[in-house]
Amino acid sequence: MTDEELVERFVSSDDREALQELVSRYSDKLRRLLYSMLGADLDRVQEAEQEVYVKLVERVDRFRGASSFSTFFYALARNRVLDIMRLSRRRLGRDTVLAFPDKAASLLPGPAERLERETDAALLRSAMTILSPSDRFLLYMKDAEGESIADLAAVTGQREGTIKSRLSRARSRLKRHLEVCGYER
Amino acid sequence: MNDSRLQELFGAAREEARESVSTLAPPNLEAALAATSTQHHRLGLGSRLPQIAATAAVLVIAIGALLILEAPAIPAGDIPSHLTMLVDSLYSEESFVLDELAPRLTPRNARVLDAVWESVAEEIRTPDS
Repeated sequence: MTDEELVERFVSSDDREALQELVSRYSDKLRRLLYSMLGADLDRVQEAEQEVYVKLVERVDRFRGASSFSTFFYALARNRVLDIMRLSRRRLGRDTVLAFPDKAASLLPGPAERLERETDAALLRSAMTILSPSDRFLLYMKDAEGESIADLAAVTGQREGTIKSRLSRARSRLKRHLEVCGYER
Repeated sequence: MNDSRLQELFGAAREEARESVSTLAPPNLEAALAATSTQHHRLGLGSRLPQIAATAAVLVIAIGALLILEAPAIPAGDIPSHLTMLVDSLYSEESFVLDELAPRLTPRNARVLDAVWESVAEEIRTPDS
């Protein structure tokens, strides 16, 4: 059954299994996105995830099929996560400070390869805090999740050319920042 | 740092995110549904009456103000001739209609509108007929 059919079943007959199925198709990716955007804090991930689903239930009847459900869903998730980041920024005065990568890695047991991966991931998350939340979203979805430029344009409501130049600028900034921080591997 | 190294970092970040979130319990949709129904309940007509009344009051005041205030009057009398002469010298009425106004009509190929503008233009061309 397609996403659109599941939406139709939930909206027209309050079929909760249809909603469950729909959510199960997107929840892993949503969680990874939230994890990367919200500083690897699992409590915040669950809280934000819940807020996204509340918004989804509230607004799914507005989905008319003009775009794919995936576009509709990620646009909704993006707006929600940017709101959350804006609010927490206002509350804290800045982004959440992330754990220093080496310390984070030293706490994690496991083979060397895994340790290295954890270190790299923590390093990247820390470096990405120099970017605006919306650029972080674009870069993560493109470079980590492999979303297409066209899909990102549809999700954000911006032109493909704008997305490309924003991605390029964000990548350059990120690389420069990593180099300045002495990361040259 | 080259692009492929950056891609590796993103790959590592994705993999680490995947592993970490896999420990979470499945999404609690029942809670989301319950929260939404509570909100709907809270947003019932009864609870929105004060908001509706306030909006209506603002509208009544705004309409009243519009009725009381008069639009500034256009100065009586003819337009000063030096102004009309200046405009005429810059652009003939016929050219103005044909060049400036007609192309702005949408849809541009609408026959009825074309006919209307043609007749206006014709009238300007032959003012004495």
